[in-house]
Amino acid sequence: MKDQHLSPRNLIVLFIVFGMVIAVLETFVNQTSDGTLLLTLTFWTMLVQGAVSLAAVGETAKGLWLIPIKRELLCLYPLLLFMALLYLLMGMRMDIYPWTAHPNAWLNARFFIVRNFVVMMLAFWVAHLLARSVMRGDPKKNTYAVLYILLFVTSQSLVAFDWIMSLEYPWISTLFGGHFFIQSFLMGLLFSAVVIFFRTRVGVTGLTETLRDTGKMMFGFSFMWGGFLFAQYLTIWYGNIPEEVSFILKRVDPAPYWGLSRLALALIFAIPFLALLSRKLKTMPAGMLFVVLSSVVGLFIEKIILITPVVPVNPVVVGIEFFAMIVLVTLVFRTRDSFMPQLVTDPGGVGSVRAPSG
Amino acid sequence: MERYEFDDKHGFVEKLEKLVDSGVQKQRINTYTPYLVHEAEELLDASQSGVRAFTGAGAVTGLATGFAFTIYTVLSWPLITGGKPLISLPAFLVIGYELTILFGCLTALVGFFALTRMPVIVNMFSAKEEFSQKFIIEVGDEVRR
Repeated sequence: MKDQHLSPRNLIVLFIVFGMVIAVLETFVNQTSDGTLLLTLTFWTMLVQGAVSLAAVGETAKGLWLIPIKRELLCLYPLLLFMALLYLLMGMRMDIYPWTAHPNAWLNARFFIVRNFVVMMLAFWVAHLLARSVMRGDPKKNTYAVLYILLFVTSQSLVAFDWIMSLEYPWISTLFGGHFFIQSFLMGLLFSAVVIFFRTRVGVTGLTETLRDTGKMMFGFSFMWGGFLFAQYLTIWYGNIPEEVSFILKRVDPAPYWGLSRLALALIFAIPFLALLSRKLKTMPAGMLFVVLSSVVGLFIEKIILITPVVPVNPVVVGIEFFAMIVLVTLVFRTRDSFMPQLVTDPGGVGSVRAPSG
Repeated sequence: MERYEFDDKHGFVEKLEKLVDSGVQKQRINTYTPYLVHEAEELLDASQSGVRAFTGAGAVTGLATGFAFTIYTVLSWPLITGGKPLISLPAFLVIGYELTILFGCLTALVGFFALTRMPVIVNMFSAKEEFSQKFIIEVGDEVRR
C-alpha cells in the first residue's frame, strides 16, 4: 500500500481542524464532565512522548534492534506540538484542581499552564531536531537524544505530579513521576509492536528480530510497571496514614473500582507476563498485537481509575476524542514521507542502515 | 574441518543460511557466538534448552518457600506490627519475590552445569581456544552429537 503525502503546512491545518473539533466538544458539548480532556491528554501524551523516547534511548544505547522501526517511532514527533497546543485548553478546566482555591508558589494556575506548555514545546522542538539529525546521520543526534530523554522524563513527571497527583492535593507519592515515565516508555514499546504488525502485513520482511526484542522489552517494562506500583502501594500500606491510604482505598475498594483495579493489574501485568514468557509468541505479530491490546486497555483503565474518583468523564466525548486521536496518529504515520527524510547510509554509524522499504 | 570467522552477526547469519541452503547437514555445523543468536538456533533447529525447566522449578519453589517461611515464622512468634493482621501478604510478597529470583538463579546455574557436564576437571587449566567477540561457524567432517 502506497503511503500518502501531506505537506507540513497541511499537517498544521490538520492539527488546527482536530484541535478545533476537540475544543468545540470541550466547550459546548462537555460542560460538566471536567476530567474528559485530562484523560485524553494524559493517555495520548504518554503514547506520543513514549514512542519518541524509545527511539532516543535506542540512539543513545546504540540499539541495533531498533533500526528498522526508528523512523516510524520518530515520525510521531509532530504530534508533540499538537498535544502541547491541545494542553492549552486545560486553562478552562483548572477548577478541577482543589489547590486553585488556595494557590501557592508552585501550584497556581498561571505557572501550572506555563511550565507544562514550555516543557512540552521544548520536547517537541528537541524531538524535531532529533528526528532530523537521526535521519541525516548528523553526529549531533546523540546530544539531541540525551536532551530529549531529559525533557521526556521532566514532562512525564509533570504529567504525574501536576496533572494527576495534584487532583488529590495534598496527597503525595514521590514515585508517581517515575511510574508515569516508565508507563510512557512501555507505551512506546507497545506502539512499536503495532508498527511491526502493520509493516509485516504490508509485506515488509526482516522484522522478526526487532519484534522479538520489542517483546523482551515489553516483558521487562510491564514487570517494572508492576514493581513501581507495588513499591508505592507497599509504602502506603505499611505507613497506614489516613490521608495517604484514602487515595488507594478510593481506587480499589468501592464499585466499580474494585473490579477495574484488578482488571487493570491483570491486563497490564499478569497477561503480558504470562504471554511473553513464550519465545514463539514474541516472533508472532498477531500474538504480540493481543498483548498490546491487553496492555493498552489496561493502561486506559488505569487512567480512568486515577482520574474519575475525583472528576467525572463523559464516555461519549472520550470516545470521540480518542477516535479523533487515532485518526490523527494514523494520518501522521501514513504521511511520514512528507516530513521525514529517509535514513541515510553512513557506514560505521549505528542507526545509519536504511530501513526496509514497503 | 572448515571454519568461518566473522566480526559481526549479520555476516555470520548470512553464511550460516548459505551453508544450510546448500545442503550441508545441520548436525555437522557447530557455532560459537559471544551472545545468544536466535537466528542460528532457528536455522540449526536447536532444541530448547533444558535449563528453563530447572529455572522454572527453582523459581516456583523459591516463591513457595518465601511465603511458607514468613507465614511459619509469624505464626511461631505472633507479634502484631502496625495493627496489621499476622499473615499480611503484601509484606510477605517481598520475601517471596526475592527467593523466587534467588532459587531460580541458583537452580539455573546448577541445571546449566548439569546439562553441559561442566566443569570438566581433567585438563581444566590447559589453554583452550578463545573466540572472544568473534562469531564462528565450524563445519565438521562428522555429525556432532
